[in-house]
Amino acid sequence: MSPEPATTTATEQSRMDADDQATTGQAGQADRDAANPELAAMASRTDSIDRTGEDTNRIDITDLDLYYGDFKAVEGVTMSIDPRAVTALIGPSGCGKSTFLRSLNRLHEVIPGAYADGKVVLNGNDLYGGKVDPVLVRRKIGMVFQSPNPFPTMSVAENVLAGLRLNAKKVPNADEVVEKSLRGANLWDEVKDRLDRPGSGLSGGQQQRLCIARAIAVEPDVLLMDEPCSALDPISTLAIEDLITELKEQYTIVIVTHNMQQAARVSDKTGFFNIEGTGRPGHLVEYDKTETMFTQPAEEATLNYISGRFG
Amino acid sequence: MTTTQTPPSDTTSTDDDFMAGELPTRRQDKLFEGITTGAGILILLTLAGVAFFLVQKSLPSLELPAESLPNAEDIGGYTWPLLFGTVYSAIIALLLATPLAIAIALFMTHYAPSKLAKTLGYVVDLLAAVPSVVYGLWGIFVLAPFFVPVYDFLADTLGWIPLFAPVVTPSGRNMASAALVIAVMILPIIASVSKEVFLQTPRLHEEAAMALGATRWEVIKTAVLPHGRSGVIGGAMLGLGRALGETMAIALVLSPTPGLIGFAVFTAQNPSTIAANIALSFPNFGGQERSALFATGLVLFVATFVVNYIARRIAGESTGY
Repeated sequence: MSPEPATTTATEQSRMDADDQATTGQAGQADRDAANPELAAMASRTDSIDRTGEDTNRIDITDLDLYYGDFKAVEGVTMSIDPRAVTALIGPSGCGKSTFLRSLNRLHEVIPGAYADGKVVLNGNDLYGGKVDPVLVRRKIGMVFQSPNPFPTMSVAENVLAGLRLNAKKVPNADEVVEKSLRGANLWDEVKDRLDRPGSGLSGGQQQRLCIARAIAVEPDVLLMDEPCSALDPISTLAIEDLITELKEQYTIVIVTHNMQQAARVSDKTGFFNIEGTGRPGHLVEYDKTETMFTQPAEEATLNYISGRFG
Repeated sequence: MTTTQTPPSDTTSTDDDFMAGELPTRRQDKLFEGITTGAGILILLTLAGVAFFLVQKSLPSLELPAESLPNAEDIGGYTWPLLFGTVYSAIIALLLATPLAIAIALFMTHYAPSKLAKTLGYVVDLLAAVPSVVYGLWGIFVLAPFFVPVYDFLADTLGWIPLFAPVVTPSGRNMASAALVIAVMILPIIASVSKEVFLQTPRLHEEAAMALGATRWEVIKTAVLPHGRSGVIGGAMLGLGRALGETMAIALVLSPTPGLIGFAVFTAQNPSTIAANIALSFPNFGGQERSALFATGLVLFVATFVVNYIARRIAGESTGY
């Protein structure tokens, strides 16, 4: 799937600048950490105003191969993920879609021996550029996991603030951040009276929304979701899907799902990953508008998968 | 087995013989049940026997004439300084060993490459296997002299703190060296228990922290340590239990002053511990005076019980998820 010509030029331009900007980015972060917290808060607000540009927070992936040691898990992915839209990744188990998702915030490489080869460019920075610190990448690209995983020893409010507290001991306007993030995750009304109770005491669906609140509290550029509803009942699933639709106003969202109805309901674009056989790398078969993918896909493999005929 | 003889009403099987009668392996099952129950009862009887023996042997100490006990009016006055020394040395050892053990466990689980971590794990377990008399000798000839300059420095600079009060004993055979030796001995227990609980940290919680942009230390702080807290405390209590009962190493390293209660750890005047005192005094005490040693042994027995009980309570505390 080749990106549109305009995008390609932008990508190439950003590739050339990638290293420089990565360095600036790091320095900027350090400055911000050191600076007056109020100034830091203002800076991040300015950031979000700046993010109105057409292609800000677009993710351009070029020729990405992902490895676990000698095993090549994903091969040759090239795609451009639209900003402020939901991109769904579907495909059979073991096809590498989760690995691919985790490579977008450099989380797949925490497994010993795992590494990536290729380019993932976000706002002019190649996430895999030589000088890029994966920790800073993850501060910009949040993630929500398969099972809800609030920190069990922390209260609801502490969970929301967990990411911010990594940057600063004291979070200015902590109460405001907690309320704003919980409202953003459609959870505020349900938990506002028990903010100091353990986060693990909530229901599964509430815990997952708490995790979303925790992820958006740090104001990331991108939100990754790895089968966020697979452990939830249909009602909680619906609540999360509604939330995803609201969140895409602000965030670039990439979601891996096994549920094709879910992909059809929430996403604007869908990518289909497949695998030729055991031990072979997964690859991106087709990537298009969700509507097209589910009505008239170009590839036969896609049609077989979405209509329930495998192999 | 009544349940096997009356099949549930919804069973459609007409083969009555299939459900009736006794399985041939039932007898083995009962035999095995008997053996395990016997083993369980035996350990309880042993414990009760030890307790009974200690109580019986120590009763005469209540009527001991004052002149038969060195430096004490009665058995209470004799036991108290020893109990103090026992708890004091064990607590210092625990304070020295626990942070180091946690650091070693974190290194093995989160920093070291897996091969090095494995080797280190073996070495730590090996430390636990060294006999305490060997530790005692090592303490006298290596550790104590080695640390004398450190003691001198601390006494010179921080001597105004009662803990570090001068004069440092030139041999180094003081409370500080004894506590250091015990610390080395309990280190493996605490480190390996901590390692196990750190390894059990749910991957999901570590990844949750990583996805928020946590550095390795921040992952440890937000996910690993809160999860491992109760386990580490349990391990420390197990270590404390061993430290309380340590005999040989202390008997060798520490040169005690009978009847003394004092906090200074560098001087030649040191309180003794119950276990070491029993080992050192036993040959010199006559039949009647030995009841005093049994009494101190009973106190140690109870103290160790209390510590173990606390350890179980803390380790058993569910972490709530």
